[in-house]
Amino acid sequence: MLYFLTDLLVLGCINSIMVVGLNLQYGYGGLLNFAYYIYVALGAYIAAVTTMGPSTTPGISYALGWTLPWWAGLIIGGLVSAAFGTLVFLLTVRRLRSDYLAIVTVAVAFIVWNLIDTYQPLFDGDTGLFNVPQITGSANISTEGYSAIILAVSAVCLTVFVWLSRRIFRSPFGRLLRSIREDEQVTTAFGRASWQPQIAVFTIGSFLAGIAGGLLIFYISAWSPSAFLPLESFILLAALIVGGSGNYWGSLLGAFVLIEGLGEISRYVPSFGNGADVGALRQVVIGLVLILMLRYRPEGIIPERWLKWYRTREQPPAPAAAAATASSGPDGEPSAAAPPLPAAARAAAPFPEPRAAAAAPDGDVLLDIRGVAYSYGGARAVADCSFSIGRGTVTGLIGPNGAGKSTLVEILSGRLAPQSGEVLLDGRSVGGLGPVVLSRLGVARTFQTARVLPRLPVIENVMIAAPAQRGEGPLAAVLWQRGWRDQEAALRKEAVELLGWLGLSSHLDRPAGSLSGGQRRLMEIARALMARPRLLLMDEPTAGVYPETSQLIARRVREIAEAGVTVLLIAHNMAFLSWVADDVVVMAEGRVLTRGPLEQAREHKDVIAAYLGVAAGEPRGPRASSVGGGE
Amino acid sequence: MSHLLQAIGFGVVTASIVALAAVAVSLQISVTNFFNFAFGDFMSFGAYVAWTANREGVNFFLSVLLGGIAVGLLGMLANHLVFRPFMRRRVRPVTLLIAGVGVSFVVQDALILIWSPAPRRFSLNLGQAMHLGPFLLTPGDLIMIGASAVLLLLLHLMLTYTKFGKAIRATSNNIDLAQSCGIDSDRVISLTWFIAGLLTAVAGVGLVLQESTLSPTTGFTELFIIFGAVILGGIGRPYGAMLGALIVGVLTEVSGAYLNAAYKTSIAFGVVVVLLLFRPQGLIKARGLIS
Repeated sequence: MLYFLTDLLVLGCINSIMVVGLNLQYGYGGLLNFAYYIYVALGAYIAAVTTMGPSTTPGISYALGWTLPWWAGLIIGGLVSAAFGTLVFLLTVRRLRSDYLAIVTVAVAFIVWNLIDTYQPLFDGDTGLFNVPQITGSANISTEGYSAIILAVSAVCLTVFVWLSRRIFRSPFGRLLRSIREDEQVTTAFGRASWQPQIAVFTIGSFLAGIAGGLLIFYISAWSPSAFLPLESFILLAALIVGGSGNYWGSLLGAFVLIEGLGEISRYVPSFGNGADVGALRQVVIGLVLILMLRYRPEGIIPERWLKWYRTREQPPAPAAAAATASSGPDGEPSAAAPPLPAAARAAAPFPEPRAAAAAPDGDVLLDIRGVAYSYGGARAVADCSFSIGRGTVTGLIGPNGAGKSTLVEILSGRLAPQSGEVLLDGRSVGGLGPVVLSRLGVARTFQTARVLPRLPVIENVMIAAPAQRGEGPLAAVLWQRGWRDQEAALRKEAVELLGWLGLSSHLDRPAGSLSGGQRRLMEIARALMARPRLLLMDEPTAGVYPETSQLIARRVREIAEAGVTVLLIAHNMAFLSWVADDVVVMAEGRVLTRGPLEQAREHKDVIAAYLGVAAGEPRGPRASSVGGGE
Repeated sequence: MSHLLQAIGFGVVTASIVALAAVAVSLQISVTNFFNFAFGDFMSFGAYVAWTANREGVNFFLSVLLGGIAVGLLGMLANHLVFRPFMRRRVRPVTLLIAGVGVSFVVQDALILIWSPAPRRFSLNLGQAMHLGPFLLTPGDLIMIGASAVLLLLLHLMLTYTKFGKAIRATSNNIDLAQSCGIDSDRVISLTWFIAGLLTAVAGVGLVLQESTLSPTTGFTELFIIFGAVILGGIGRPYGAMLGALIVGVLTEVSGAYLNAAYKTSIAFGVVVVLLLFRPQGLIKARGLIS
């Protein structure tokens, strides 16, 4: 009975290590690995052949045979799996969309499996390896005693790996991973290349697989290709999803309940037919449980948001928030009662050049657009567009639908490269540098349809944008918490202030996916400011927003500009523009029609013609939209 | 040289089977935008139904048709019970892929429960292989190639000229727009599952006849090589899938003829992975179902 229990616990621990590793890859990084077990197998084989001693029995052959101590074999197995993971990632993963990435991982794994199964000198082909030395060496020890020793080793490993998962989860590295999982476009727009953290987490996950494989082979002392059929990977995946992907406790639960628990239960089910029936029935149950969980509880038994990490930590500064939302005058003029602008929006720390004072001298140009053009296929969206923007000003970009405004913003944010012409930021040519570089040069943006990282709390949605976070590398995140803890606390404080300033104090720890449309817009502004931009691009910040919120946004935009940040915003709401914009640029058919104060632009006959779809008295078609109206 | 041509001949046979399967996958992806992970098991199911019917004395072609209808209904059922509720919630394609893993577990192990895991013999004795120019093919091979060509041509005609084909293409292009134009996209998707099911079963039977044995994992084993052909051709583009299948089929047989036959699938996989490195969007770039 005792042996039965330790045996169960050993396998439970080893399977848990696998699911914890898979959780790092899929739960944190969103990387679907359909061949996780191949990494387990690699670890097992390597651990075996580095500890087994040269092959002497005739007819049995395997490479290496190094007679290393067990712990060295275990670690080398883990490292080989990790290296293989890195290689596979470099080969395939970073170029492919995540659902067919899964399919490519299977293709690569099949090749490895095929090689191991067929090429005898490596690991003795399809017969596999036997008599792998026990970790206790030649000491004579009972089966029960040995399983207790393995249990101790596995439990220690599992504890270390759960600790590692927890540390990663709470670090800036973990936050970045989860953000990439939620929406890669957001992290890219805020200056993070996705593949760096992803390759790191894929490698770490593969390492865990290798260690689990090593432990397993030291326990069962034999291994063959039939021990790692594709099925195993999918059972692990099912355990992860059922337990709760993203949550390391969920991984443990999934491993113990779905793999061990169901396995034990099925031992008590009598065979009712062809011998394979009970096993098959168990798989049917796993399949059904997987489908039902995905449908009715996609976050698993223990959802990610149940982690203590996600619960409220700071008490919001409530009065400021109340003032922020309540203090709009009937005429919509910015009221004097607004709380002061937080430090985050003022400081320009990450940039070497000293920021110009709020009252920038006239003619101090931050952004200069010269003859920029862009076509989608044959459709010309932006054609020979030129204008410049003075530092610390708010410029409205208006024009009828299809005028090329959003395309221009995409070019300025780096997501599109101008096909001709030049974009100068502070005199430096930045056209086509890509969003990651542009973000680092101080360009931040909001999106036309607000993009939030739905499963992350609001505060983390904002913190992700802060530049130069020290804990974003895997090594620093795990090993040098002291290096980033203080910065993290400071960033958190800044984010709290910013969110308070935008009236979101009471939503700090809510998942961003539950915010309303207007709240999302406000959160996006906080996120953009967290990046400490020189240039803030806003694509329709008030679209679909309640008028009161529009007024709040208008006030905040003015204050942002007064603090020295240059703002370029697309808007259709003329009342909003008249509050915030120093002047407007009117675009039509990819070109600049006119620029100047809003009142002047509204009277301009070309502008009226563009909006009404008539040019110089010549009828152009029935398309019309109101110039003076709201949304 | 003749060795090579002969291998190419076998490659065309394999390609005609993979093409049917890949087109079935692609057709379903074009309207639903996710990989049906249970596709391999659908093929096995179709083959089992056909095998059972044939064993009970039903004419071979009629048995295959029965298998096709069975898989078509299974596809509609899976769509109705599992996939559609997910699609209504607009989940990511990855979630549907994982849901498909669940369906695969259920179907594959249901096959074991119904037909036992023991492999079954299933072959057509239509006579000896004969020389046709440089190729060495059996009548069964010729029937397979012919059936594949006819079915793919019929599919092409249906997609191009019938109203239903137009509805499939519209749904594939933009489901919301198709719906607002009065196309009952639920019905279109459901029927697409059925049509894909017909092709699936024929491919499944072809696969089994090629190996002469049938087991509950027959289809699953081939799943990823078929997905490889689909990805190679460009996801959700049936015509690209045919090209992908041709490449995969010929590669498999030619490499099998010259190298250790045990590695032939690996080599096909390797080439797929390498080609995707250079063209992650697939070989055919055109957008939409028909360009």
